[in-house]
Amino acid sequence: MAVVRRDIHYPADQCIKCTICVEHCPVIKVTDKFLGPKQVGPDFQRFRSENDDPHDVSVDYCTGCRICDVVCPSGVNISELNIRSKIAVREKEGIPIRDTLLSHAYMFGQIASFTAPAANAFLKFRPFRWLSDKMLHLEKSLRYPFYQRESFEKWIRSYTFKSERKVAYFYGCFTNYNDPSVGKAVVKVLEKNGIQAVFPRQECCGLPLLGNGNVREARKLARRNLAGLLSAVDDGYDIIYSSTSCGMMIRDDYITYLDLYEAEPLFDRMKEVSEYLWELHEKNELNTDFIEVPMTMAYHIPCHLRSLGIGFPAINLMNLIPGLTVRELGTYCCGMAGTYGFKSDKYEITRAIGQELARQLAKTDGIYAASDCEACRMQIENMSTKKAVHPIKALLWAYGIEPVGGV
Amino acid sequence: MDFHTEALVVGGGATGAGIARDLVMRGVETIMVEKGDLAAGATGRCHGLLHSGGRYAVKDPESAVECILENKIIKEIAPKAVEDTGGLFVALPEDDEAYMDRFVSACFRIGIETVNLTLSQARRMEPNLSEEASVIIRVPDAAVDPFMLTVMNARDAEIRGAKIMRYCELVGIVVERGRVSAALVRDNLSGETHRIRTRYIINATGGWAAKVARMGGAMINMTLSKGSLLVFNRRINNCVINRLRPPGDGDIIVPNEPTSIIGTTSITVKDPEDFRVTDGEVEMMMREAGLMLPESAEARVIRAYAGIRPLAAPETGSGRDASRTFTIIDHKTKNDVAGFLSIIGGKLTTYRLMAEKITDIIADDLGISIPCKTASTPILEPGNERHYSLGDRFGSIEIVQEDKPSRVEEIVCECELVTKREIVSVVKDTGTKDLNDIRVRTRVGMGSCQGGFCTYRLLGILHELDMVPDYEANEILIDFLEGRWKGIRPILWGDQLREEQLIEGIYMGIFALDKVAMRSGAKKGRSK
Repeated sequence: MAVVRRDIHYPADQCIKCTICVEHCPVIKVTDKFLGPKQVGPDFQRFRSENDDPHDVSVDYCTGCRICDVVCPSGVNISELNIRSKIAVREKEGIPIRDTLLSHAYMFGQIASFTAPAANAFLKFRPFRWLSDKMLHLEKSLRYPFYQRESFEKWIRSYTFKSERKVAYFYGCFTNYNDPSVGKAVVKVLEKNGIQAVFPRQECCGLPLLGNGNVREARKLARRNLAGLLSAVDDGYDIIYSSTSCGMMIRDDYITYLDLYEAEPLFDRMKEVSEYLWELHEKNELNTDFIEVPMTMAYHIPCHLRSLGIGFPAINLMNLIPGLTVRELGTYCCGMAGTYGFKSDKYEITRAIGQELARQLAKTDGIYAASDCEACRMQIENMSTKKAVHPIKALLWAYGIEPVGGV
Repeated sequence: MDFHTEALVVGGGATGAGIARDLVMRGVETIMVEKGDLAAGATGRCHGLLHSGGRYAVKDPESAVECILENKIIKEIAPKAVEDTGGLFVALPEDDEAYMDRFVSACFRIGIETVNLTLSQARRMEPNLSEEASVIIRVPDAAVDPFMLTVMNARDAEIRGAKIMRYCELVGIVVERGRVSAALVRDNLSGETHRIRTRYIINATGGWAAKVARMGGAMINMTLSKGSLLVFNRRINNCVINRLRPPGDGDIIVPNEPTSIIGTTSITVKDPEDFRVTDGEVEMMMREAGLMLPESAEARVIRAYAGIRPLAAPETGSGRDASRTFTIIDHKTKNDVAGFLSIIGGKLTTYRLMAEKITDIIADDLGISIPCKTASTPILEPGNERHYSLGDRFGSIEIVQEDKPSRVEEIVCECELVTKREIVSVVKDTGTKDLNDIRVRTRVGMGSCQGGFCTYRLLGILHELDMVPDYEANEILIDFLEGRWKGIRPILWGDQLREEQLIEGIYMGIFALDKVAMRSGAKKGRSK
């Protein structure tokens, strides 16, 4: 006997089959292995029941970009339906070792950054990559992100700036282990505005785990993060984040997927770093003492920034900088989609989706391309000769903290 | 063309197909004629409920006994067409408590197994059930696919030697020396008229029974009672939910494939093709559904439809008072026409028993001593496996994908997950180009968008198969979509209204089908 979901106001009822989500889905454009957001989401939902075994196969090819939600005119939470069915499949069939490894990357961060030169050499070592492709189906032709000797966490210890005005900063594990320069830039830009960053206790936001269907462990991480973040809110601080995906996970998904309703007070206090700075500017509080940064900067909008629904504040900020020309590429999903692009069965899809980004990047002048998301930045470097940077770097240069191009 | 047979069954509903099967199983040469497609009348327009008999236990025990016996038999002989959901009888605070006691003792007497459930037990099975429910009793109700059941019976009869003639309408009966000798039948597709010489004519035409009887110079006194139903976009209940009170309107909700269906009403009508669903009926059913499943008020309704019950009783105020048992009329005793029998009344649940009783009469007349074996012979064995679960449909689509990633199943109807392969196989098996024939065999066009998208694809497939000449294409499209529109019109609110705006945009804006001149002069509801 089928068991129906309790909540009757359920989004599949709202879908009028207009197919706009399919038109915008980056995956279905390049492969027929994915049946598309409408089919896998609201269409299949009529046939799903809780005690029936999950039947989904093609949902595994969903990148989780959530463009479908953004474009849906009927307010159907398509990506939620897809992610939930992915979770159901994983809960029944277990999670492949490869996906477990990828989604626990935060755990290796500590060891890898401690042994950075060796770890990086190892990650580059061809026989290792061949072996991991063969055994774990981790794509061998993809560049792995390098680990930094000095993690951001370690660098924080030498941070001494003090101010009355404070903001809490959730930097995320990529910034911590792989690209601390983003974190440093955020902190230095804040300092130029007389704002001291405080660092609530934090771990991986849990999105890689959720994306690979591991709700239980994602919830564990989320609880630990919430302890720190909620006490920062209690102290009266806003919370900024420099990774759009981490921000989306904490602001939206802790409640939606992990049922952690205690996260509710965070919603109004979580601000993407550019959003935060732009709000300062709107209050005339942003230090705009910029030097000229003569360059063309390509800018790729991350899907999860669209999903946050906060506009594109990085563009606004960069437009304040004299000499800097921002070229928004008009691209949708880059194809990397977090851990997705590292899976060898998805690699072709990742490349194919990234073609449009590659074309636009090739057409754009300049040697830099900005994007707020680390996975997008990885893909930019995979697909072009441009150097990918977080938009905050443009401010770092405009304030003259670092020479143009410096980190 | 001339045919010769011993028995001619008129009407291709569950009863007609059941009779044809029983007749050939007893060695009687049989032809069945149906003016349209199988199960196109009351059978295909019913609730799809395999009654436990609980509904009739108190007021109509004879009918209840038939139901519970047949319920058990159908589950055994046609498991493929049955989803054994179980059923609940639910009393609300305003319902009469005395009736509940009478209900339980009547069920006990009749042999309908009942189990009392607490609210929390029931809500584990049925999370949307009203918290107001004061008494909840479980009975062995089930959901049955009436169309599949009929097609299975007809196919089984065919394999055993019966001739099934679809789209062949009875136009005349020849009576010679007080006995039927032949029937004239018009092929509605080719326009050709056939003469079928036969010793017996069995009138199993439901709402049309009186009309057919007149062709043979006989009279039938019967009442036509319209019952309307509403289809929800998805399953809002797991098991059949009945209101525990004397049978009334809007008090049964049956899960059916990916939908739930609430019904019914009972309104006496004159015309067996009066399928209009009124606003009053819709409002009443939505209100009643909301009492048992409160949140159904917010759930999307995708369609309304009505069927006509051919009741055996003469008109008596309300059709609810008429017994749901069946009547066999031998026109020899009543109208001096030998070899002519009519069967009226009854229910989908009791179709097999009806077939058995009428076949007994003919077998007796012919001196055949072979007993009825339909109660113990599974229909279409092998190939009559367990009813698929709700998820199997998309499961099979997805698994094909996984095994053969290079050859993806092409989905034609995205709401009901019907693949191109299924459509092609139906078209090739039946040779039909009628989209409704394809619809009832595959559920194409029966989902949320009611054919607004897939109909055009369907026509493309028929084109590919060289089934449809260019000049017919528009009419086939319009006919089908107008048919769908009739069922949408009474429930135009909320999400289905938004849906219909889009569908109408495609119909008028993209295909300009409202501007097409129809050769047959069919009415176009959508054009203002």
